[in-house]
Amino acid sequence: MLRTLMAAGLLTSIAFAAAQVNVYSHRHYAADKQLFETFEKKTGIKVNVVKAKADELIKRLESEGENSPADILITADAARLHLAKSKGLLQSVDSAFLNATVPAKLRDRDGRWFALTKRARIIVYNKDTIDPGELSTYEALTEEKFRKKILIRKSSNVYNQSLLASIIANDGEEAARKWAEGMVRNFARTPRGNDRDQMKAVAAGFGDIAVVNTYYVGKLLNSRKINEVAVGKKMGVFFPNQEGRGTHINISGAGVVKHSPNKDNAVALLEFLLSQEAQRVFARANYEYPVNPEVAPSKLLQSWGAFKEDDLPLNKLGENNAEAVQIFNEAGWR
Amino acid sequence: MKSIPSRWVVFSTLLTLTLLLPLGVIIYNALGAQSETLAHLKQTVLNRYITNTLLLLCGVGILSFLFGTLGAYFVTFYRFRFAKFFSVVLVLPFLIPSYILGFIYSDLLGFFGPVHMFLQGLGITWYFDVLQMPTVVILLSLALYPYVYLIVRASFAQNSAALLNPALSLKAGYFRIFYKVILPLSRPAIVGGLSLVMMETISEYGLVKYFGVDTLSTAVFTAWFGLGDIYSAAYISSVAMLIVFALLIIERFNRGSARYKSEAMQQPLQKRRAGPVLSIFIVLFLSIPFLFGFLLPFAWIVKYAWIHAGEVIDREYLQIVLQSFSAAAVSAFAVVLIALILGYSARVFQTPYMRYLLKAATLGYSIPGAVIAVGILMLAGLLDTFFIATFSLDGLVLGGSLVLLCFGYCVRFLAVGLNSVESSFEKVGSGVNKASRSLNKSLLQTLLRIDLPLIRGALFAGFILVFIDILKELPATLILRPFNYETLATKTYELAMNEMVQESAIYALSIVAVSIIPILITLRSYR
Amino acid sequence: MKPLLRLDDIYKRFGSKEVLQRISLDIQRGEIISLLGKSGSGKSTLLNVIAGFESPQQGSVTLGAREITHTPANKRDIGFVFQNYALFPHMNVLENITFGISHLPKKEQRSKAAQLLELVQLQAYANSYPHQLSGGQQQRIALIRAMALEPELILLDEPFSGIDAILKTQIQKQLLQILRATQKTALIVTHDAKEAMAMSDKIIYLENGRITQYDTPENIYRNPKTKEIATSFGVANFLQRDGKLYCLRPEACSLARDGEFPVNVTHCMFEGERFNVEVRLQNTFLRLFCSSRPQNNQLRLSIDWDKAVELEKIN
Repeated sequence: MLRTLMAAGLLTSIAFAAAQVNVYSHRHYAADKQLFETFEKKTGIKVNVVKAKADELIKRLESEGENSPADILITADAARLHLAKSKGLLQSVDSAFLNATVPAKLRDRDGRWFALTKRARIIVYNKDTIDPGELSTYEALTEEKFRKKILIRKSSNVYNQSLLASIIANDGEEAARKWAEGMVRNFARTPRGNDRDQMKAVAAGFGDIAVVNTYYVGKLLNSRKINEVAVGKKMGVFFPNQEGRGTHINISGAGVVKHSPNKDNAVALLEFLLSQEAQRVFARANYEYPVNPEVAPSKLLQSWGAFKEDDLPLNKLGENNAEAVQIFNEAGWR
Repeated sequence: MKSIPSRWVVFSTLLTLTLLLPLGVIIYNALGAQSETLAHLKQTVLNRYITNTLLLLCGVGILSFLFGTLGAYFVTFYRFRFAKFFSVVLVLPFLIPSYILGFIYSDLLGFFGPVHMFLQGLGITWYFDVLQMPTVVILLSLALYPYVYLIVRASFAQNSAALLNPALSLKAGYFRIFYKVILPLSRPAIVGGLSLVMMETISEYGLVKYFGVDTLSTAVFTAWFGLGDIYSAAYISSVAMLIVFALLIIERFNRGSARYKSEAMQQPLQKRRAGPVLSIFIVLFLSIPFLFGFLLPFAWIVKYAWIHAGEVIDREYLQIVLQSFSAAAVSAFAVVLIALILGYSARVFQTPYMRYLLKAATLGYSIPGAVIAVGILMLAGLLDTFFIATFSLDGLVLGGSLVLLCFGYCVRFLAVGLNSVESSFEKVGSGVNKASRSLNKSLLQTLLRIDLPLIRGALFAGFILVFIDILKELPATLILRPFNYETLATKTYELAMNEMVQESAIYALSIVAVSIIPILITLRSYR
Repeated sequence: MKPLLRLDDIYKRFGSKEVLQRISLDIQRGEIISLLGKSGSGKSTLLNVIAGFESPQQGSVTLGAREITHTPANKRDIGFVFQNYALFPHMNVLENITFGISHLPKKEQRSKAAQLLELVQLQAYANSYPHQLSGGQQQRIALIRAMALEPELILLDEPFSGIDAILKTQIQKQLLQILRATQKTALIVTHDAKEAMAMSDKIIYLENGRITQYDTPENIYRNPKTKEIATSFGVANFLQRDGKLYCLRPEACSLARDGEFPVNVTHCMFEGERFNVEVRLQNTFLRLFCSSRPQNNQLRLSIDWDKAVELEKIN
């Protein structure tokens, strides 16, 4: 009796199918859904998706342990992938295609995760009030002349945490702390809202400079709302640290789950997502930079020109994440 | 022959203990909570979370008091144009869950949103920042004041009306009467309403999260998911519970010391005619909550639901509606069933023990959904480990199953169901129950043949109320929902969080549409 | 003779409030007993203990040869007629009556219900619903519903409280006739002393959870044990004498030229068949009846000490 009951409980949590792959994804774009459907048509492997925040998904993977039905974890940043890896939730994948396609710095050394798309965290400025000649590096944003001019979102946001983690890795902890404190001094307002809100606030004159991810600029410029397009058009795009280490980049990526019940299907899906066909869809739909070098970014991104990327191994973003959070809290970065 | 406790009492006790288990797990974990993360949180941000929560409580408390009490006062004691209209529509803001209200206003008032553009069209280039604590206070008050309004209006009608005429005959002025007689008499009602408002405020997740105000409720999420620290989550949860208990004690204290109830004073209330100036003031004042708490957001929802209907209503939408409804229906059924068992046991065994048991069982209603969810997850983790070890299973039994979600709803909303059950039992009286037992029918036979048929209607009403509360519930659902599972609430939230507020309108409308049902039922029973 | 119902040393408290303090009593088969007391005296609780809706903390309840102290209410074979009759509003009269005997074959149920309806002369109402009946009719239905199970003992909780004062006497008479005709043993809870005296073979009087008197109506009226009983059952005068408290019914007092005590008439009311006179003796006021209006204010009071009752001093 008890066993039957339990089996019934299992049925609710795992969707049984002949060939399937279960995806835990933090990405929630129409393009992803479309890609999964294409994959299903091509291979006959059914894709089941749980969409939730990466943190929730990792939590769930942890508590499910070796009984987890999940095959692939997709996150929208590198730090979470590293976190999952360091908790032993991911397994190593040795795929000739993946190794050849994904540049070394965009995948885990042990093959536990691979980037799907790239984005850069850049400086945008109000073209009417700021001369891009004044801008140079992330570090320079703490200068006196930018007092009350800077807009950036909350420290709880992982892209900020990763940015600080990269500064810790590049400049050292003390410099990072100074940077966080300097930024807080220069804030135009207490951090709130998302990246788009930061740009809107710039357009509304609440500040002059914002730090945002590239695809948000693209989204504004291609918004269905004319007001948002106007905001986007007001923004100048600046890739910082070009003279030095390069602009901080982050990725969205995926790894195969340690106890994946359908590992082969999982690898097949990964390979599909990095194929030229899929990468073109990513590039077109979300204004992200493709990872597959054979695929060109969208026209808009091309118009901003090529830029030098920070070559810091992305693992560092995860390794320094906890320290970054601490520094943010201590610096009073809301 | 010794007296043994009835099966009903034993079973009720077991049910209550089960419902309390998640809270117990949290407290147990919070007591021993010591981790580096927690120490760091305490040092840096925990104080701010607590301050924010308290500020929110004060602000929302004051505003809901003003809207609720003054609204009830004007509607009860004055004659003015549209009085009848307002007495009904002041309840309507209840229909729109606070987080949806938040999404709507962020869309309306955000930079380059319609309001800013309208001002620009008038030549006023003035930008205001909507993502602020004061906005959250105002929006939460708009969403929650109906608690105060409803309870206080009932109290005014019941207690004060009978005393207004005597007070008037003693030549007291209207203001003095309000201040000296009506307000003190209705104090328990006001405090009761406000404490409900405040518990909802502590529980609030979607709105504060969206507006970037860090409260204990959002901190539970961060600690649990972001920092992955079970002890911090438990600790923060217990701080939130502490505030809740403080509120409960204040409320109890207030009720205990003032138990006024004037019965059988069914005098018709002589309403006072409001002068022209006062009339205009009243109408303007009452229009604020009605317009901004209901009409405007409702119009917004309908507009964008209409615009996006074509692209959003597809198989996924229907599936989500189906999932939400089935989960809510199953859980609401469970809630009503548990409420029936507990309520019936308390009806039959009218002992202090049963009274305390019922109080304890309904504690979950005042505990934030996120806190309950964290407790349940901890519990499920423990049980799963146990099951797997004991029965050597190769899969999770509880983790990520609908059972957890339903259990969460039961813990959270039992009070709503029990309230319906108890009040209907009270109305029926205990005579029929005893009569049946004296006619040699067992407790179960009596329940099935006598009590159940007699309170069928009330049970159904209770079911609907619980159903709607579940449909609106967000934080616990976000944490506990299983694989591939979206509800109307989580979908609305997810779309809004991913900057597709307008696309979420159709989901929001679905929630609001269902919530209208009980209002219609109440209105019909008014006539 | 073995009593039908025996309560032995029943003790019951709610929290710290002692509601029943060591109640012991016997009820014989065929007796009609009234249970009287002020509100809060514990009479409802005592009834509930007998019926099985409450459990005593101490003591035992025995029905016939059966000890039933902790037997659930539905296994006691005790009938109960509730204060508001508690007819099931969603069932018609017939369904109400047969509710308790649903274990019998349908035919038997019907014939039994018909007999009982005939007994209370309500045959025409078998298919009516409770709300269509008058208070008296409801009461009779509630009675036969309890009688359908042929219980040895029937408990009636304030059976006349919902009935119009004018109809009360008539309905009391009917109820009594039915109980006597069927030779039932009945315990009737009431707070109306007149009702108790009119209906019962014996009266149990409860004060603060204690039985202060258990006696025939005549004895209770003539020889009340306490002040409360004395005042409850009629006009009572109290007189202190030699450190003792006496109760004097008006019948024990008369105005006479050669009376012992000089009194002043303070009030006189004509009540048709008699005059109700109030006199003052020093600091006490006494009530007595006269056949003619006292002619002057200065009179003497004569007391028939044989009829005086010494009261137990409580407190």
